[in-house]
Amino acid sequence: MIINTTRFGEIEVSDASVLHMAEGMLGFEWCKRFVLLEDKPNTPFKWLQAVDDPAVAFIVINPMEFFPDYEVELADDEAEMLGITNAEDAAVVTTVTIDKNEGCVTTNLLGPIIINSHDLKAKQIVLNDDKYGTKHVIGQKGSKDATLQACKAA
Amino acid sequence: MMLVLARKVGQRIVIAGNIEITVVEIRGEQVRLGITAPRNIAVHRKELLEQVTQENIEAAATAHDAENSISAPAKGE
Repeated sequence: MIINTTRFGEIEVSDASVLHMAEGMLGFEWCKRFVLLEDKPNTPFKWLQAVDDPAVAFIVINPMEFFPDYEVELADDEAEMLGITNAEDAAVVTTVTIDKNEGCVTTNLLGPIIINSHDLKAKQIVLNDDKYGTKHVIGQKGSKDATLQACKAA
Repeated sequence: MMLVLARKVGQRIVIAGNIEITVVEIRGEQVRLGITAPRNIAVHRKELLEQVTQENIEAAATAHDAENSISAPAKGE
C-alpha cells in the first residue's frame, strides 16, 4: 500500500508490515495504524509513522539497547489483548524526545509500545512502576559524553 | 458532576457491581486505596496517563523538527 506522509512524501509499504494499535497512541487516539521505518544505517533510531495521519510520526528506539535491565510487566488483560504469551512474542519500542534548550535526547520508559512480533498488534501501555519515567537520558544532540553529564544532572 | 462519598478505613465503594474500591489506610494527606476490578478494566494513576500523553505530544514535535538531527529514511523503503 502507498501511504502519504508529511515528512517522507508518499512511501510504499507492504500491508503485512502495518502495526495495528486498536487504541492509538495516548493523545493521538485517531492514529490506529503505524509503520516502522528504518533510519539511515548505524543509528539506533527508527520512525513510527502514522498511516492514518500524514503529519504524525515518532522517533523510536529499542530501549534494551540503552537500558539492558529495562523490565516491562504486561498486565494480564494487556497480554491477552495483544495475544502475547511469552517475552519472545513481543518487541518493545520507546519514543524519543529532544529537549530544545540543552539538546538532551531522552526516551520514555514509562509508556513503552509493545508489539506482537507475529501479527503486529500493538499497544502503548503505562507501567505501574515507580522506577520508570518519561525522560531517561540516552544522549545529547551534537555532542559526545563530556557534555552529556549536564543532561544526566538535569 | 461528581459524586462525593465519605468513607472510613476499611469501608468500600462498589461501582457497576464488579469494581470495588477499599480505603486501606489514611496517613496524613495520603490515602491508600485497594482496587479490585475485572481484568479488562485498566486502572492507572491519572497523572501517569497525563505524563505519557504529554510526552507523546513532545515526541511528535521532536520528530517533526528532527530534520537536521536524524536523517530521514530513503523514500520508498
